[in-house]
Amino acid sequence: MSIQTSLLALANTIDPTLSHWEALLSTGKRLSEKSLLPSLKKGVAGWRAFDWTLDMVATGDIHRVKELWLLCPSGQKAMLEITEDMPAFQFKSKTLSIMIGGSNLEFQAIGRVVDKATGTCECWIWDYHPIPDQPQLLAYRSTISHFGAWRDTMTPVGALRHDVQGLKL
Amino acid sequence: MSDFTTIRSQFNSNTDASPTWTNNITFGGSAGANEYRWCASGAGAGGTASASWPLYTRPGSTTAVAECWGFSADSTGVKVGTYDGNKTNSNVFRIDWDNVGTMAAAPTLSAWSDNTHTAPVAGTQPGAQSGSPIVNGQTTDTGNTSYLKGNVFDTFQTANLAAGAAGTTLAVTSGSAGSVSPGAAAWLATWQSLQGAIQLITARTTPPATTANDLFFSLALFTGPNMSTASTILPVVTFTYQFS
Repeated sequence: MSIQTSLLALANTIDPTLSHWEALLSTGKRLSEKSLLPSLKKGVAGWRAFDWTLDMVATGDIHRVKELWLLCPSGQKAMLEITEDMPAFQFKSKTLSIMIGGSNLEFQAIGRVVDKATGTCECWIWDYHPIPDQPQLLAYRSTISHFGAWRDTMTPVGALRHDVQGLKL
Repeated sequence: MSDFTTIRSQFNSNTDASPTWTNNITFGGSAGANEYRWCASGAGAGGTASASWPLYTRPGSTTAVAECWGFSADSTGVKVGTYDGNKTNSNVFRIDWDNVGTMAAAPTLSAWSDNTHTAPVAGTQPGAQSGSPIVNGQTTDTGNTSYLKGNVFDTFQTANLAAGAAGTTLAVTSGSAGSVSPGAAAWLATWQSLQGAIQLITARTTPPATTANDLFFSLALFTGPNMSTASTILPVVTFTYQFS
C-alpha cells in the first residue's frame, strides 16, 4: 500500500464534505467507514479506511447489522432498520471524465433489500450533484438487479454485485 | 471507502500486435493537458499546443475522423497508434486501475456534452454545451445517435487483447437505446453511440475486489455535413464506476 493510499484514507476520514455510513450491530458495537485500520497484509503496509467488503462482509458483521446510517455533510442523518429479511448494502458512485471534469464523487447510497424474491430495495441517497430543486438527501426505491437513476444527468447503475455487498438472497 | 488510488486512461502508441501502454491521460484536463485530440490524417503533431490544434473541415458527407492524439501536457502529445476511425484494432484505449479499490457494480462508458453531464438532446444542433454538436448527433447524419461511437471488450482483463478487429459493425448511425454490454471474450458486435444516459456501454461483469485490472475500449469519432461547427468542440468521455 503506497503512502498516497494511506494519506488518501486519512484525508477521507476528516473531510467534512463527504457523507459516510455507520452501522449499529446487534451486539451494540458501532462501526464507521471513517475509522482507520492498520493494514498489515503482506506487501501492503500503511493505513486504510474501514471497508464494507473487507471488514463487514468478510468478518460476518454484515449479518449483525441492526441499523444502517447515512451521515451527511449537511448534518442530516438517515437511517434504515436492517433485519435478516431486509439485508443491508451501500455503495458510492464516481465519474471519471476525460478532457474536463476530472474525478467526481456523484452520490453515496445506503440501502436495504425489502423483497428478496424481486430484489426490490429502498435507499437513502446523498447526491453530490443534484439537479435544480432536487434535495441532496433523497429516498429512492429501485432493484438491486437493475439499480436505476433518479436524474437524467447520470447513467443507471445496473446490477449490484452480491458478494461485495454481502447479500445472500 | 474502498476507492482506488490510481485509476487512469491509457492509449496504445504502438501497434495492435505489440502495444505500448506507457501513455497515461489523467482524468480531467485543463490548459491543454490531459486531452485526446482528433484531426485529419497527417495533420497532427506532438508539439502542437491545444490552442493551435489544426481545424477540421466539415465534410460534404459523413466520415470518420482519421487520427487521434493523446496529450499529457499542452504541447506533449503522442499519436494513438492504433486509432484510425475504424474498428480495425483491439488494443487502442483502456482504463487501468490499481489493487486498492473494490467495484460494487459493472462500470460504464459514455460521453456527455460537458462536465455538468447535462442530458443530451438527441438530434439537436448545435445544442447548449460545448460538446453538444458531437454528443447530440443529428437526424440526417446519425439518425439522432451521437457522432462519437464506442466499443468495450467483455469486462476486466489481465493481459493485452489479441490483435484484430473490434466488433463487426461500425457506422455513423450505429447505436441503440439504453445500455448495451459485450458478451464473454468479445466486443460489442455493433458499436454503440455514446450519448449520456440515453446510449451507453456497461461492462459485462463487475471486476473482482482489490485486484488491478484493465478495461479495454475503442472510440470512433464521426462528423458530417449537418454537424454544427465551432472553434472547439469538447465532448467529455466518462467512465463511471461504483465502489463499496
